[in-house]
Formats: sequence, structure tokens, C-alpha cells
Amino acid sequence: MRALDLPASTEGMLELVRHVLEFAEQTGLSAQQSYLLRLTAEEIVGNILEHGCVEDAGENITVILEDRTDRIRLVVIDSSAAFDPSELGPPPALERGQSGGVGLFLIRSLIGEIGYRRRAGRNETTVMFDRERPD
Amino acid sequence: MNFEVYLEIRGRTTTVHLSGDLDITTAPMLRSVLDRVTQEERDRLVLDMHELNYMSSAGLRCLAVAHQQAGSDVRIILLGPKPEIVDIIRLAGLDQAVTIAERLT
Repeated sequence: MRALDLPASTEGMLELVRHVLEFAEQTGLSAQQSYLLRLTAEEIVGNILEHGCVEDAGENITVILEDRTDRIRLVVIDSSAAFDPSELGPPPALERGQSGGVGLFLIRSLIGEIGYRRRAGRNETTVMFDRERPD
Repeated sequence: MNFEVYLEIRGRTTTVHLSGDLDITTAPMLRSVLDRVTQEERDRLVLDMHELNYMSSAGLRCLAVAHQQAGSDVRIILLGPKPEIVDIIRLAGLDQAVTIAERLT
């Protein structure tokens, strides 16, 4: 299991990408799985940056990556206002200029369930996915 | 993050060549280019994605805004996106607004 504390900033996002790609390489994920893991982590953390924490306000986001042999577990913990990404509905129509929620919609479509709980004043978002993505 | 954009204008077609990673940190660069090119009168706006390794929802939002700004008379063509990128474009329903092709005809 690897845990990483990221600043809630653009630099934090760059660090996240480096961390995720390194994890994907070390755990032998396929290129497709690596893409999916990166997309998932970026969309969750990006959503926190855009709507949750104020950039450079000293807030940290904790990202945990765990290799469970046949599954990968990603946990993102942040201290912004309570927000349950598993409760969002379908995305507004992008082609009509409505883009809110599209990132989390992508994750739900590609992976399935997003787990969420509020614990000790922090949001804890969990995503599990199989190493081999079902078609 | 490694991301590059360059423009090619031929007749009434503008081609935007993309390479590297298009995400929340690099999307503003593409957004500013698209804001500019969608002001010009063109028949086609081509985004060459052959060298694009990665795109997140930030890239999708750029494409959606370009579609809105360019108007319905301008055909937007995405050239050679990798399968993972095609997947998210389709999942988001944006394939209804753009054409995905391997090469220009």
C-alpha cells in the first residue's frame, strides 16, 4: 500500500500523475489499465481542486494506492465540504455546453461503483477495479 | 506535464496538432488556442490527435466549448485518437457533435 499527501494545487496534481504512473509501472498494469487508473485519480482529485479545497490554502489531499493482486484499490481523502460523488446523476449534455459532473460520470461508466463515506470531518472516496477491465 | 499544440491553416481548414497529455493542467493552453481559431471563418476544424497520449474530462470540456463557439456550420474532426480517448468521447456523448476519423478524406 502506498499513501501520498498532496498539496491541493496544480503542483499536487502533477505529483499525483507521477505517483500513479510509477505505481502502474511497478505493479505491471497494462497500458489500458494505467490510463484508467490515472483518469480515475485525476478526475477525483481534479474535482476536489475545482470545487472543494481552495488552491494553496494549505489543504492536503491523501491518495492511497493498494495492489490487491487481482484488484487495485484507490482511496482519496480530503477535508473539503462533504461531497458524495456516488450520488451524482447522469452528466449534463456536453454538446450543449453543460459540462458539470462529466469527469465523475466517466469514472462511474468505466469502473462502476464509487464508494464514499464521511469520516472524522473528511471525505473518503474509494474506487476498486479489476486489473483486467471487462469489455 | 508534456503537452504541445501547433496550428496549421490551409484554405478553409484549420488543423490543431496535439501531442502529449491533455489534462486539467494543460487544458487551458488548448482552450486559449481554440478560443482564437473558432473566431475565424473556416469550414473545418481538425484536431490531429495521433500524438496525443492522454485526455481527461478537461479535454472533453475544451472540445465541447470549441463546438459551441465554432457553430454548427463548422465541422469538427478528431483525427487518430487512441482507443482510450475514443472511449471517453463516446461515453460523454461528444461523438454526436464531432467526427472521429483516422485520416482526412
